[in-house]
Amino acid sequence: MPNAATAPLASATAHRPSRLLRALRRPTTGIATLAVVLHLLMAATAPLWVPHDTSAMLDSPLAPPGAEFWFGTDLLGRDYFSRIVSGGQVALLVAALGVAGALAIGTLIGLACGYLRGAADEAVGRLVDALMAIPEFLLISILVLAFGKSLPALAAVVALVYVAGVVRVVRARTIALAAQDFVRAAELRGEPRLATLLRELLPNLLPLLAVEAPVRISAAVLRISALSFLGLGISPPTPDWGLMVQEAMTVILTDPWLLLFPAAMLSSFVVAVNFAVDGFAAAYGLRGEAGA
Amino acid sequence: MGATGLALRRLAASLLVLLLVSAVVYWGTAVLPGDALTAVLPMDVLQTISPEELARKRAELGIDRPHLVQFAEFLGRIAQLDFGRTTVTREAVLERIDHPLRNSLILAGLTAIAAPLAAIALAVASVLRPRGRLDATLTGGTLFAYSLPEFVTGNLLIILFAVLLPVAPAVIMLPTTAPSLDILGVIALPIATLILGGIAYQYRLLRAALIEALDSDYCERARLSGASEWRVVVRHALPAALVPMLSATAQFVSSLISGGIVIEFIFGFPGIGQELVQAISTRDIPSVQAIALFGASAVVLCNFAADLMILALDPRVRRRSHA
Repeated sequence: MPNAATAPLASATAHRPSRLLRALRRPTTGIATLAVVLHLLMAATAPLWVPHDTSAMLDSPLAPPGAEFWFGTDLLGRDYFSRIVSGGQVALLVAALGVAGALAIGTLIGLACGYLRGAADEAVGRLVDALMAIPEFLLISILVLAFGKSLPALAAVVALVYVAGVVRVVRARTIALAAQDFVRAAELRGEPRLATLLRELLPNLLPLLAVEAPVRISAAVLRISALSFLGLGISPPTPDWGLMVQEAMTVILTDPWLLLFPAAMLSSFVVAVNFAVDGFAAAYGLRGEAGA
Repeated sequence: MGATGLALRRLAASLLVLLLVSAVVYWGTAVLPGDALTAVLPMDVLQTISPEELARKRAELGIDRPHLVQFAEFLGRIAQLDFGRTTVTREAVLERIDHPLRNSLILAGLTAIAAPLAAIALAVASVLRPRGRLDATLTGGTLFAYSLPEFVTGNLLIILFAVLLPVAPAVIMLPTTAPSLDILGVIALPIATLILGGIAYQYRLLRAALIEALDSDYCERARLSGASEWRVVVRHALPAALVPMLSATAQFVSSLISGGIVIEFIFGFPGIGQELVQAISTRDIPSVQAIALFGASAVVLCNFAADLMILALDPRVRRRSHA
């Protein structure tokens, strides 16, 4: 990412409104952004308007779609529409909390390491290498085994799993920024190092973090859903897309359509986030910054 | 420092990473969830034992000593590939995971060969007509496939190829000990799922590198000397463009371990991922430790191999290290 590292970021903020509009006017970015917004709205407001209780067994199992149950009922006779609409809430909440924790801790550590360097930086670097050498899913499994499956525990697991990656990208970015003139100037003015860190370096990391946050949240939603799918994450009877895919798999030969609803919801969320971030990153010249 | 010195340094770094990984695995599995005793005993049995008796048992098992001492012992045991016995059936862990491990290696190995080849084919097809319809479709399509979770692509493939067009089995019904050749007959859908999820990044890097290479003087010279565009792409641009893709391929191979767990569960593939899921749900800590350490070692090995290949292929890396 040499071009991103040398691009003057100050100018990126100067034309914000026009760039935002230009990005949104591209059809893929616009549609993707709209889909993300709808998904978030749905997750936030679902309990207020779903037609049925998500855990009540209301009708015979696998009833076909109709006026009462718009998507039919699931294996246990619960209203499938209500469950589908509510199925992203928990995973999204856990992912957002976990990623917020990872970004907060990882940014502080990465900033300190990248700016102060020295032996502590070296040690943190090795630890980050080790954590990232463990396949993500194995690390998640070990931590779930250690912490359990409660929602705070799952959020802590997400935070721990993603913190190493955040430290790595923030540190790399900080090193690139610290070599630039405006940081040298602050040092020559005699600013304390902490002030340089917080006032000069941290604001310049915000574009990077703006890309990191949504990319990592969508990845975390995928991981949590996969965990739930394997029976190691969110527990029944919580409506959750990963769990619903697993339940639907048992009847895949007779009622394959049951699987398509949660699969489509989960995929549309993740696809939309990735396409939206891709579009904005291109518009703001941030391409290639995320996902290290 | 010569290339050998550099390779030795990478090797030392890899060994250090492995040591730290074992520490993470040890503290994550042996320390955090309670100790080996409370983890093995069922809750109702645990309640009938007095605290004094528990303390005596702990001393007997040696788990009341400092963790650093125990960790050193743990390292000594895994260095001899002694992972202990499973907590439920008391069989040797290594024996139990032996066959599933082989099956998973077949799955990962075939995917690791097929995915970069597929990425190369697609990227070459893309740059033969940059910004053409095929290029745009492939660029969008790979990002789309990358965004789909494995358990969705896997199930969609099952619906397509096992339910609608019954050409492949939906669920693999093979015992873990089945001979490897039998596995080959049912492995197509799992491999296809893994490739669909992992190809995007390699394809994108290779496509970008190819476009950059095609813009260079030496490709222009090849064109001026009358070489066909196909020849320019395959003979002149591709070798140079492969280097940046290699580290992405190493990353993909490591991610196969995460992806493989889910894939095996979907297809009922008798591999190590299934064993892991089972070991976690039964809190079979020795098995989890063994599988985690094997997985992490595989990743460290892959990255080391990729480093060596990049070192061998790219003279610039060697020269930079002299400075």
